Amino acid sequence: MESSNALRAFEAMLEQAAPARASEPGWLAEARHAGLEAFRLQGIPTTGHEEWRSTPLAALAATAFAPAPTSAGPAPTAVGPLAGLGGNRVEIINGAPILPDGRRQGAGSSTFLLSAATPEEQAAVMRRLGRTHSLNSHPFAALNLALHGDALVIHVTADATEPLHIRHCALPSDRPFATAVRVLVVAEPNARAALVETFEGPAGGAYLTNAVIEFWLGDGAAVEHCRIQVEGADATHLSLSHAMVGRDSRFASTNISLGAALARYDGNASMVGSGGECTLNGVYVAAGTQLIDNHTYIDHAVAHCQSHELYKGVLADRSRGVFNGKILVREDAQKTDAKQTNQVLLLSGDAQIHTKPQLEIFADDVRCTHGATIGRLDADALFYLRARGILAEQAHTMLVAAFAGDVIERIADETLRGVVDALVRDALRAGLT
Amino acid sequence: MLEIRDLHASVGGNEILRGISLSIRPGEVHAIMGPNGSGKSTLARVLAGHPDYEVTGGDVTYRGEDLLEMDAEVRAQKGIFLAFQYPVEIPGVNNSYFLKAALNAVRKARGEEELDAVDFLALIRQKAKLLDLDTALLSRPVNEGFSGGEKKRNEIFHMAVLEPMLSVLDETDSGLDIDALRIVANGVNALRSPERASIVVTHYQRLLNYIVPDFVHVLSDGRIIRSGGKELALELEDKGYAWLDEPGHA
Repeated sequence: MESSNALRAFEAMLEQAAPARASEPGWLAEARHAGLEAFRLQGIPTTGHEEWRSTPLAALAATAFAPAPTSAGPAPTAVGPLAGLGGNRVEIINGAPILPDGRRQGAGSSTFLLSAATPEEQAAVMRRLGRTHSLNSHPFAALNLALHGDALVIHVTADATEPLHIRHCALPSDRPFATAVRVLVVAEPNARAALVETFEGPAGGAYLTNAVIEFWLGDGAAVEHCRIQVEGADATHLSLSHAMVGRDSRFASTNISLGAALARYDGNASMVGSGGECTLNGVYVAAGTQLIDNHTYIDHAVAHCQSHELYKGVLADRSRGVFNGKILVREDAQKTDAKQTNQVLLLSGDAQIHTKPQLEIFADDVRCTHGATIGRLDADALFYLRARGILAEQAHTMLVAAFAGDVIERIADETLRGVVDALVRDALRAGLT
Repeated sequence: MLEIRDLHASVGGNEILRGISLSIRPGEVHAIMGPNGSGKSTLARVLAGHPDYEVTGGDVTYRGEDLLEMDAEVRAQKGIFLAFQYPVEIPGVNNSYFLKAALNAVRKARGEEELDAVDFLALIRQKAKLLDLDTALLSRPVNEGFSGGEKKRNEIFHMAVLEPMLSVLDETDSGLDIDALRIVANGVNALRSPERASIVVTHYQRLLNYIVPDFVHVLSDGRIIRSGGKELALELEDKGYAWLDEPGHA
């Protein structure tokens, strides 16, 4: 593998972290080693790699990232719509989860750092950490396993009704740095949880977020997940979510991607118990020269499962969007019902979208539909609004917000829905002017 | 109020209006009639500032100002209202939210204060009642899934709320049954006043039984070929449009 500044930097970070990790349990050391091997094998992908063909990472490869500064101070108080999120919050600052005494007991759930896990908890984590997906499927998720600090574990045992906010926060720094964060969510049978992740960072300054979150849903469990990516303008955001959806369980995730210079998100779900249902929705808004890449992958491994995907993108200026939706229906997954839709509004002649449905179906009694539309604002609707006295600019915003609203209104939690709606409107106003 | 002089307009390179002149004073209702393709709807859309129509000649003065210089939203803010022949469905934009934005844009342009939520709600409830509009339609996306009659009624409802100085009704009667027609006419008549004026574009005389015009103009091939009082509409109903083309009548 060819060496690059970024590769050397990642190796140096591993070396630097080695002494602190000497006390980690053997299974974790093995997992980290496997992650590292898988990363070394894959390297930093070029656009010659099918899964990364629209996501140029040359700038990332050329950056000599420093390790994330520790004790860089407290996270700034959230401003704007994000301030409206509830107070049940765990902050992850420059990749390090902040949890006094390593543990917090909530109603229906306990949240802890892996370093503070009981032996019983450790055993449960061992069976799940890094095991939702193949390490060879995503180089940065593999790197993340090798590199992440203390993992944050959320163990949901009953009704965790109050949404938990995981606030990923990068702080200003005078040199580019890289974080690696790992979160594991384990929902016991019939447990319920709501989780909001926000990814925030300084307006300027380059940094790399590498975040992996894994979900394990027991039979009959229900998890609502929303991720709000509002990283700083010079950030690179690489992240992966993977949910193991058990029998009769329900996983719903909404991915709001508004920030970063380059954002690549892999939203995955494995349907591993019959009667399971998953929803992967998303809204992305890009302007300037932003690139927002969303890859989704739903693995229908067993029969009688449903999956729904609705992604809506708004691209202004010279921005680029990628949507790649892969649905695998294995031979045993009869009666699968999978629906995928990606709709894109291009607000400029220079904006680009690469959209690709990728259906691989090996069962014969299934219903799988996919659709992609790429369009511009409806001129008749625009005239209708203007003919009633609404300024052209406001009419634009109204129509684009309505387009994205179709996804936002499906967010179950009312407070969260309001926050997301306001954030998207702000992004649209900024992107349209 | 409105002075149209030798107006020529085309769409996609085809000239549709070939020299229209028309003078409308405050308090008047003018009916524009004519066969399909005569340019009636084009005239309505040109007056509202539809960007697809190019004015190639003539001028239009509205209350002393050059109308053709104004963007569509400015025209609306200055009191011109077009009731669309085909109201547009706008998914995701709530009907009353939209109307509040429109009303406040118009009020702001008039130098009036914006209406707060409570006053706005009272206003739209009152106007919805006047037009016998199902209040469920207020909280639905604009025109989405509305029946043909509901769309037309919603147009007149918007008009009743915005209280324009000059309303232009583009075939608002098409597709309406007699009850709906009466309700729509009531909405228009409720706005009649010595200060306001209306242009009623219609293919049929029927609507004019309920909205009695002061003047009737017949359009053919982009020109007004005949103008008269309300009795002209009855004559058209009797004889159709063909007789106008016969020698001695043009």
